[in-house]
Amino acid sequence: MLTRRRLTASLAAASLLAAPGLGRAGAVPRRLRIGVAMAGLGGRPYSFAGAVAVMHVQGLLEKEFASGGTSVEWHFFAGAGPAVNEALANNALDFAWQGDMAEIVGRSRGLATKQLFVAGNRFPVAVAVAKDSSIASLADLRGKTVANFQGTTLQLAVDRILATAGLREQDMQMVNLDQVTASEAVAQHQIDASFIEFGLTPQTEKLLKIIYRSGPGEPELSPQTSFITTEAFALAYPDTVDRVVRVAVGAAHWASLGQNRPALYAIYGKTGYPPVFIKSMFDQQDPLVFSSPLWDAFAASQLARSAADSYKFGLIRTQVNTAQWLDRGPLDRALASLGLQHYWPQFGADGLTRVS
Amino acid sequence: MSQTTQILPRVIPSPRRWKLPTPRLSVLRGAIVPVLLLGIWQFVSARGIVANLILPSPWQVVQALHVLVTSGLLLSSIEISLQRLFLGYGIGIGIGLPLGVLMAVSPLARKLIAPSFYAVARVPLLAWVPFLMVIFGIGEALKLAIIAKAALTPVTMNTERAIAAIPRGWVELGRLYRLSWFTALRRILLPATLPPIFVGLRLGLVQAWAALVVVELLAASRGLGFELAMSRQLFQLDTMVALMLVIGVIGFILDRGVARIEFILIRRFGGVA
Repeated sequence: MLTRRRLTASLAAASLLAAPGLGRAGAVPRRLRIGVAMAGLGGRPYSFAGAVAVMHVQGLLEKEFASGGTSVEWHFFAGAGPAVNEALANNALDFAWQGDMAEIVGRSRGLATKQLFVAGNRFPVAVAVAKDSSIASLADLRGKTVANFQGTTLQLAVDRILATAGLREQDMQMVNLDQVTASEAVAQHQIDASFIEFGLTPQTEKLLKIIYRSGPGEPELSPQTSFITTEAFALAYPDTVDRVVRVAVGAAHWASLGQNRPALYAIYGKTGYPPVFIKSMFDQQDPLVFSSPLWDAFAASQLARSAADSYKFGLIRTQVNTAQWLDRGPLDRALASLGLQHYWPQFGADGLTRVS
Repeated sequence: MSQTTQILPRVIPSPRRWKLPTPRLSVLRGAIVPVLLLGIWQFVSARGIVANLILPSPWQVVQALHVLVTSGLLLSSIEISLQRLFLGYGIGIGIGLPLGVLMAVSPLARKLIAPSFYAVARVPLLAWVPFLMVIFGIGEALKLAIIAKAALTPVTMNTERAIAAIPRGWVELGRLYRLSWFTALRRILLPATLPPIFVGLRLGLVQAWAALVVVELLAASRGLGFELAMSRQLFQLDTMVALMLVIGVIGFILDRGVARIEFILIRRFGGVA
């Protein structure tokens, strides 16, 4: 606790020095530094980050802030969430798109952040094995060498999925590999299986078979990604945070429109993943549900569940309270100003019951 | 026979008497830099010059170390890592020593092997990793191959040089006295070559330890290097620093251990450093 308070204090002090007009309406930062916990194949600076990817590729924030002289910096981290956390701790980012697990790890260690909006959830997680493998179910993974991208949001989903089969990480040899390397390793028979969210390239896809995929009926197993800002930045530039979220909600609306699907896939295509792969991944998603930025009962409970599960699975050492973490203000104001309050469907805590 | 053995030590410089400095003073002197570093570390973290999440305070690291010890994780990781080390190091010595001897005693073998060996030795270990990964996969074989490779180079090179550098006069003297094979080994070969060979063995062990940690960072599911990588992934940098300290201390102990064996052997057989 001491560390968190101390960090907040030092961050706040740093931003005080940088911004004499602290918290005053109209204060404009010199630059926005946005971190994305994903990079495309071969480190391409693109992502599948939903509305955040749309903002990036369409240059929406650059346009929004052009007149005020605020520049926008995008940083893509192949090291995913853990690398973003290090950048946040170094005070090198103002905003970040990350998975829930890495966000929770960061918060448990005292990173002072605020949750702004949801940017992707209900994403299926699959288990890939070699075509000729004898592994046919989750239970067969016991004692096998299995890849998982540790410390990223995938790890949490993996632990949950294993638990459905009564398994734990300790029941198998878990090797830490990024998803693309992992699926290649499976294809080359170097390891037995890999958990993947995306990371199946067409070259490896032919050599692998999927023995498990979390279904639409169990959204609580899936990773959730969101957009956060640092407390220090939100304190110094509340107006800027509002503007960023408003632009993002506009981008989420654009991504939710069926007719924009080909254009959205073209944005995702910049990651280097081939169109067929992107289509197969996102076609199964309802764009209205997948692109929703809302902290509905499902998204909020999912974050709380992820925090509880991270503690349960030993991924964090101190519990994280998620209720005080959500800052719904900027999102609510953005929805109201764009007239989108009732545009996206809302779900109950289980993610299945539609409430509005 | 007994006559010759009595005469020889006078001709060959007598085994160097190793004098260790008084332990207390050397420990004190050796502690100056660590204490200084600890002070700087404490100062930097207390003043918040580096964010506390990035550079934890010494006390946080002590606490993390305590968690590592009490959970049993540290001991089991050390066990796994040391097993890998000794197996890989054993393979490295098993190939490196005979190879060094062969290149030193047979000009033909030297002509055949040396160019390839030195070419191979010049490629940094990390550059070998992708290639060895393709050959050995990412399993235990890869780890052993990399550790063995790390130990092999210094062991072979130093062994070869050690034997090649035996003064010609000594060998001739041995011939002159018609020393038995065993006596020649005992009185000439060992004293002349032990110290330089041990330099290779020590270098090999240190490099094997460093290579082990690197290879465990890459693709392992247990061991000190794996836990190091894992603690970074889970943003537990206090645990990471604690593990780094443990790795350093073990490396130091291993090096001192070989130095100790060297000391004992040299006292036993004599040696020219």
